[in-house]
Amino acid sequence: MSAVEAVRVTAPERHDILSWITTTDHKRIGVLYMATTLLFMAVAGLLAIAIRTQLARPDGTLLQPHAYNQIFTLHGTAMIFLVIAPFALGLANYLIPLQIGAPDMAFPRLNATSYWMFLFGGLVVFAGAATNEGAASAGWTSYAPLSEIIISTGLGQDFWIVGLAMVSVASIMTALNFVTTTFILRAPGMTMWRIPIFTWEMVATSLLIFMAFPSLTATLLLLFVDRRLGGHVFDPAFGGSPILYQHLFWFFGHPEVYVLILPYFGVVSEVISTFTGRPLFGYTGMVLSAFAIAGLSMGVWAHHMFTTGAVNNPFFSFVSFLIAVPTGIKFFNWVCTMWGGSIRYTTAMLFALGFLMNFLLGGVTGVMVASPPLDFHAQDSYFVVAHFHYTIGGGSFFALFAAVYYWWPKVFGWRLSERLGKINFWLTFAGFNLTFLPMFFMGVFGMPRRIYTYANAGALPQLNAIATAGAYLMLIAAVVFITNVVVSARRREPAGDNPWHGYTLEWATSSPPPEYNFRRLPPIRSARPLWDVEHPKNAEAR
Amino acid sequence: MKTGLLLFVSAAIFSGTLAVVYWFVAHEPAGTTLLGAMTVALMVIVFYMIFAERDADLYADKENATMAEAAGEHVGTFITHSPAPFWIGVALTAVMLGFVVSPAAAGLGIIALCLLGALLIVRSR
Repeated sequence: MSAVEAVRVTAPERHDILSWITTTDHKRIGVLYMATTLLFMAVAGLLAIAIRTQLARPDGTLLQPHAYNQIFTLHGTAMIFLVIAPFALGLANYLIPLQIGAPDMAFPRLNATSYWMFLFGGLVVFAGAATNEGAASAGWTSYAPLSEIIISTGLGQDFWIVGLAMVSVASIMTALNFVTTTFILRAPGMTMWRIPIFTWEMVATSLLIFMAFPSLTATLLLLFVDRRLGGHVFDPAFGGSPILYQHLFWFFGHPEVYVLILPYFGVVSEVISTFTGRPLFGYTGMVLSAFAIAGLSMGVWAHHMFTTGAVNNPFFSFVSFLIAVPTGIKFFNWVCTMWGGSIRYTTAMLFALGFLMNFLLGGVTGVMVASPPLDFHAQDSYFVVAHFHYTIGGGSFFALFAAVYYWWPKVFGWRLSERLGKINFWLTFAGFNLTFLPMFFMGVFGMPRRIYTYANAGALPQLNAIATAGAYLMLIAAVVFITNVVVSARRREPAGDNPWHGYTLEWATSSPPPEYNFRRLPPIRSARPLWDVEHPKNAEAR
Repeated sequence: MKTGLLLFVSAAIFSGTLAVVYWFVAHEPAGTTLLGAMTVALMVIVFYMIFAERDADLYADKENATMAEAAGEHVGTFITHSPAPFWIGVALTAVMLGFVVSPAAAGLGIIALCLLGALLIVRSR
């Protein structure tokens, strides 16, 4: 009997609500994470629709300035802290033990505690909207002194601080679990250089969380001290420094961008490899480039502060340019994986291809704003909004849906409709580009971000109208996705254990997997153990 | 484990080097302190892995290990349900919100956390 088979099996699985509340099973916690983030995404998406509706015309009257500030703050906070990053944590929760042949996470109770802290932290952030002066309104960065008590007087800002502190600590605990699980609980023969690329990307992400998130927690704590305990850490009138806030925040904030994207690099790598029927080109290069990105991202934080005049611009510009090198390696490897492959254009693959196209535009414009002379022009304009959304929206968001369509059959045992999935993709792709491509031009024409109205001048009204139409197209795409889930749930077309002919270990168990994941494991002699089993003469074993 | 150790050693060396280079290029104390603190934190993990895990002998690290060889290996005890995480989450929320709106709620939350901790320790024995 193997190590994994030897795990004791207890009582039959329960499915009542109490069993979900008390669960410590990594798969259920993963599902809880992903379901929660999709709900937060729905709310944050509706907030985005409100923003775009307000900006559809120069004289929009839907929202007053204070309400508008709260809405874009909640939209940004939710999408960054409560949707894109935690969805990846949920996916990793589900997949890491399955991909490395482990029975569960190393610390199941800590894992569940992380989830509940994340959920309650997120709800606390939103609960700020129910206070007298409404939710936090200082933007997702909440720069001091804007977020200090003299300007942001309401409790909403305090709710934002304590809620995010909980989310931050929960993320660190989850990262600890991922790294320990990957290092200690791999199945016999699953050496580190055989673990699937998604798991590697999550190890790199966890390392980033270790290095960056303590800075966020400290920043929030210091801001709270300033606001509630009479501190003056960021108050220049008493020797404090608002620039210090920016250093502390961006020391977390820029690596956070890679926390938002590295897991999805892993998703795209898995999807492209499966649907081209080829092993990932340059596996070792992909792993090393993930760590190169993680390492370099710790040295670029002040490229967000070029215009303060208080940082060494050449240093941060140079290191920011360097990140393009490992990112380029990944791009070339994805293209080389597809080159000559027999590509199957499933919904997951379409979303992965959409990711490549959008992220390329986000990445190239990132190189542009890494140059201080260009950044001085683009700073705080819609150009930056477009760049960021092409990176995280066009990148992570598309890969998120690739992941949903790819692993859905494994999680639930039945497929989503491919026909509706493809409609979902094309509407999302068209809507996304209609929304965000015009924003580059708005930025170049001088439209500042975070304003609730704008001048009726030049092409701005037309560009904003197009962007709003695109946002509504994305809303229709979201409705198609929900319809797909409902329709497919009624049909429940059985998926089988390995519907896509994947070769990593999660496809070796039943769909959905049982408690403790595996009844029996195949021999592990490469990064694609199922390929080795199915093609013994052409095994990749190394 | 060697690969894992190498990973953290590399990260510590990289961040330490970055801290030194940054100081000499920028002469800026906040960023240098952050990079220095990051290096120290990574070194803590490195030392833990060197001293606490030096005898780790995992079948996972053996390229030709078979499932049969690993039979009987104790990989851990994995419970499937526990009420503690949920209640820890509730109590922590009370503590955090208590700091904002009501010190009494924070106090109750802290007491609840202590009780939960004690209960977990007693049950684990």
